[in-house]
Amino acid sequence: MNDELILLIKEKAPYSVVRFSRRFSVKIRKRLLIVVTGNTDFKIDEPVKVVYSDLKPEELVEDLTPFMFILPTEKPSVIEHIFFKPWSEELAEKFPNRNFLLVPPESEAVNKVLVYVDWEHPDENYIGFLNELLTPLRVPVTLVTTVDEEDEVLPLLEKEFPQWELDELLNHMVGKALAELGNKLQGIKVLNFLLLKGNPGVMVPMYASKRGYDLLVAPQRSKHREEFIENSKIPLALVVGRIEE
Amino acid sequence: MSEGVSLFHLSHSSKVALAVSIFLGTYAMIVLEKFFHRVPAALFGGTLAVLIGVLTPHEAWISIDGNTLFLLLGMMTIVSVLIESGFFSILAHKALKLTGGKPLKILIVFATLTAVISAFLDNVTTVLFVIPILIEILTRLKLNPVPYIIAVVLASNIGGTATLIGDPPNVIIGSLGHFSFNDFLINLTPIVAITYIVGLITFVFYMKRKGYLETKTSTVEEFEEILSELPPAYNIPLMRKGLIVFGITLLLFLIHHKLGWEPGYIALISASVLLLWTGLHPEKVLERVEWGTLLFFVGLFMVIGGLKFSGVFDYIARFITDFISGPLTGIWVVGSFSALVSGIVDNIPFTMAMSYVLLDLAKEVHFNTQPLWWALSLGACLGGNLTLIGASANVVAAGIAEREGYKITFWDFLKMGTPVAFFTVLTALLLLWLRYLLF
Repeated sequence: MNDELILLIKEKAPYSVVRFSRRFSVKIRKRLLIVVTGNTDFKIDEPVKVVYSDLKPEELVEDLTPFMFILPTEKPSVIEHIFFKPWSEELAEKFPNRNFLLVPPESEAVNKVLVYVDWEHPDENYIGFLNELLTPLRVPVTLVTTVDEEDEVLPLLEKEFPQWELDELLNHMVGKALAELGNKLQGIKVLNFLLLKGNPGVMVPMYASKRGYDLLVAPQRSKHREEFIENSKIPLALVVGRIEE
Repeated sequence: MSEGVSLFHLSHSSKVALAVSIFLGTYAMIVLEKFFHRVPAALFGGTLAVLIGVLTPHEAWISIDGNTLFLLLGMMTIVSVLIESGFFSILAHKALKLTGGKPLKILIVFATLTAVISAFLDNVTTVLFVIPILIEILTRLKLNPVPYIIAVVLASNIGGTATLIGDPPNVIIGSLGHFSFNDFLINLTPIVAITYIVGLITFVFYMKRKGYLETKTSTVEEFEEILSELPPAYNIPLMRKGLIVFGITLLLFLIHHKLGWEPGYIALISASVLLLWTGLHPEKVLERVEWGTLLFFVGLFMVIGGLKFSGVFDYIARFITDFISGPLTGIWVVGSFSALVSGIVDNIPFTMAMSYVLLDLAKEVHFNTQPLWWALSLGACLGGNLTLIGASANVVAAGIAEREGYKITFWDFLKMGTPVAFFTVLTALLLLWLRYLLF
């Protein structure tokens, strides 16, 4: 079960998401299982195993421990999104101990990946899982991190150093931390390291869609997970690490 | 609270003379803004009144209207969270999409959006986020942003008149006159809505005649490209929390008189709930609170308190009863006088002083003075459009424009602002007069 990708469909899903999931599963060398829930006559003409279930998506996520759940997600306009949260986002928020890949319609192949890491508190499980997820993809990866007023370090440094010295110091400290993290990602082609200023849950998803990334990876164990889920416009892999059965 | 000991023992007549002198001196410093900043000027006047014995410390303390300060502080905090979430930038971006890059549509959509937002937000805050976006897009469309900026500021001052929380003079009137949020909705909002249309027609007509509404870029693709380069940063979970709290706050404002809660306390508890719920760093949010404005209010309340406790407003109230024979004449006298004064000097101290005059006037006359309060609001808020220095939003907008390389002169503003102020004040007072004449 742990080497399986489960595409969880509630009644129906855009065909582009099914196609994306198939390609993705082939690329990362995992078996794809499609589970369709609810009262539906949704048919899939693909050579993959499809299971129809009467269980609710929540019950399935609670019971199963695949490598990753793939959830089709809608991306309504920002104003609509304030009042209407897609079921897939609610599900991903409800289960912080599962790996999810949220896929909006019209997603295509993954050629460019942006990975967020918390340089102050790197999560070893997360880093370890990145190797497993990204190595088979064989695509260039950019590591991104942020410094924010709400972090522990920036407010302290701001009191001690003038702006020019602060920028230099931050670049040095963050650059060093990211390079160390990069070394742990054996087998992954890390293209570059980025430092953004501001809330990561806002700045990173915006940067990803503005710069044409096809996949954003972020840790489940982040206080900004809800922001990553709702603010991301591109496929988002929300990763906790290897799930024990 | 200790009454304190003043160095001076003042007779009643000297107290009156000193209170008036301090008020006039403070007002003069506020007017001479090139030499004095209004915040220390007001604080200096207020504390001087206490030190020389015009006011006791206790009188000074009770002169500071907590409800007004809490309402401003609470709403500024909530708005700061909404700004942080990117909500207003998203609204502006959506508005821009609606216009299709057509100058007339840009003018109407942005002016109307600004007027509506200003009804719920401080005008200065509104222009602070609308104008940079407007300048960016108009520059890219090769249009002169100056008349559009002026139009947006005029719309902001009109829209702010519509509700209790739209403009500081209304906050003062609501608190000192004991008017509820609903009183403003019933008595002012419909008048302001019609007045806004008159204002809009006035500046559209002016800009059309001057050729400011002619398109300089032709293709839709070009506009789409510009639009795609301006995606705002947003935070949907924060927006949702901010809007839920903002909505509940407005609902509580609607029923605050039934609950017996003052709007200031509602705004403050809402702001604190929002900060607790979002977990945002308070320092980050409170950076956007206009502490200067709040301190300005503290100082002014003390200066005005000097006039109140020395009985100056009683004299003025008795004096103006000769000119105001009833509510209908009062509407024109108070409304036009307020508009004129507010067009030249800061409308906040004026509204504070006039509010106390109206409170004392109610004791002197035997007619309903409520229409005069609405006339004061309409005159003080709409009169701010008369000149560049008539309202804080005008000055702030000119400052932003200058920073971006577009100078708005006093004359530029006067050419558009004066006719708009004239027609809107006239329409608003006429509608108010008709309302009390007919019903």
